[in-house]
Amino acid sequence: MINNLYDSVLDIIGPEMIGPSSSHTAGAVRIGLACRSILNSPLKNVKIELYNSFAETGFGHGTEKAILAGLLGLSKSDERIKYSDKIMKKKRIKYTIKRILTPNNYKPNTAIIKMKSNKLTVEVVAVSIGGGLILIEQIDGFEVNITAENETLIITHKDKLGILAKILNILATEKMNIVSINSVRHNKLEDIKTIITFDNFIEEKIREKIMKLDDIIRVRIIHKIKEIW
Amino acid sequence: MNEKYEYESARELIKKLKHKKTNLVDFIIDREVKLFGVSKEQIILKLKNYLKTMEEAIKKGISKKLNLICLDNEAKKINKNKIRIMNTLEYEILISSIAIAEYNCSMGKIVACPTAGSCGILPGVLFPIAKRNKFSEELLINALLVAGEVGRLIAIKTSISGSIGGCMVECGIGAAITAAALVYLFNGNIEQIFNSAALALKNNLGLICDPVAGLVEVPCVKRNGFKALEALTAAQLALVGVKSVIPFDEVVEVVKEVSDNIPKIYKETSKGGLATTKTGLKYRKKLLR
Repeated sequence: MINNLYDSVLDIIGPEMIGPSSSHTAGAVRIGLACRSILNSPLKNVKIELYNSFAETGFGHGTEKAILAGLLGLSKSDERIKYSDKIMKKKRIKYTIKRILTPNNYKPNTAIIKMKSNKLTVEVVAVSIGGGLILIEQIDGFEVNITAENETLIITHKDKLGILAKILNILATEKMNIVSINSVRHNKLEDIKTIITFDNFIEEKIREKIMKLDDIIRVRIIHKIKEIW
Repeated sequence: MNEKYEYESARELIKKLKHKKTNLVDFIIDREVKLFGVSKEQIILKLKNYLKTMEEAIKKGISKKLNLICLDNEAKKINKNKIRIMNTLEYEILISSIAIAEYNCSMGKIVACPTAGSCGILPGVLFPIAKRNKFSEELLINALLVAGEVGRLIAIKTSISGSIGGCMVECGIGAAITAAALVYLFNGNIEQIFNSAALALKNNLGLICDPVAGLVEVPCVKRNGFKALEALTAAQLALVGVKSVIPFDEVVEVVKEVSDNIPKIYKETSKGGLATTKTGLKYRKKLLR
């Protein structure tokens, strides 16, 4: 069996990153970056909870600074990661970090990130799954399982006939190449979440166009964060 | 995938190179260009930057004051001490490899090769050797490519994660690819390159990952120094014609077999080994305070 995680020589030599750990540091930066993209408005306040291995060894690996750095938009090789707590203070963004050491059902390297901007409050459950790769498991309590290896749109909409066709029509007009599409409704009272991933970059105007449709509640964009080239 | 690049073993790769009458480095670059749609220049530029980061990490690991949990500026101490058993070159390799690994722990910028925990081995050997032999930057870039390709042929069958194969697939692969890079730099042929990697890999079978307090400090940092010198041994043997009795591809299969059989407590979980010694647990307590 062949493991296609290592297709390129640059998967062995590289990446360039701030140490010490690809899952506890580089992965944590990417969790912060994904959260920044999910919030999509200036962060004012953030509460971070670290679970399991993130809680046990996170402080020694700079996990908390790495997540803050990602929230500030720094990349995994930015030497300012080490000072991200100071940058947060300078920018007057409030933050708290809590280590949860009691038994729980979360995966080994899990962080729960509760963000506030002037407009929004978002809660994200994210996991660092090794080698710098991450999984966004939940957004506001809703299961999404996004890797952020592709560009992702999350559209919350009412259960109305033909709404998906209208969305797809916009995407086709904008020449968006769809990688995957998934619509979920957990019960009849709930709104539907449609998660679509793409190869190409999702521009802000796509969000605006979809928002103009009837029965759309919310549109989130999560940009791809894998940096191979 | 392009058929020309469908191969999973050193044996197949060597056959392809002989058939195409092309050299290893050109073949590796060609493959990256065809499979990932990047240009040769982009690859070279990226590796050039990696070399800069690696060299910088050696300097900073020796000179800067580093704040770590278990370690205390080890590279700095080694650098200052005047007692010598080793020759100058070996001593420089020891300092450089430990310096990078230690700098990594202090949230320094490094290049994973193959991982962050094993990032000191390859550059820790390459730079002192390059300085002494006046190897050009171009040659060092080629050596990185050779190291990457040899590492890839191990990783595709196993992993580079300590949580899957223990330290065998982190520092073990680090030593193997460093040996391969060295043999390349000293004009060894492709068989010698893979022999050196096989020799180094064999010496790492079953190496566990039991980090104290879950940190990349103990035993990882000093192990980078040990493995750097091990790579030197493997390359030296292969260059004078010593063969690995068990060929590279078969050793890789064994790495996989051993990976599957290493108990979970020795796979980065810090649930056994050095991590759960009396002293190991003391450091864990210190970290959790």
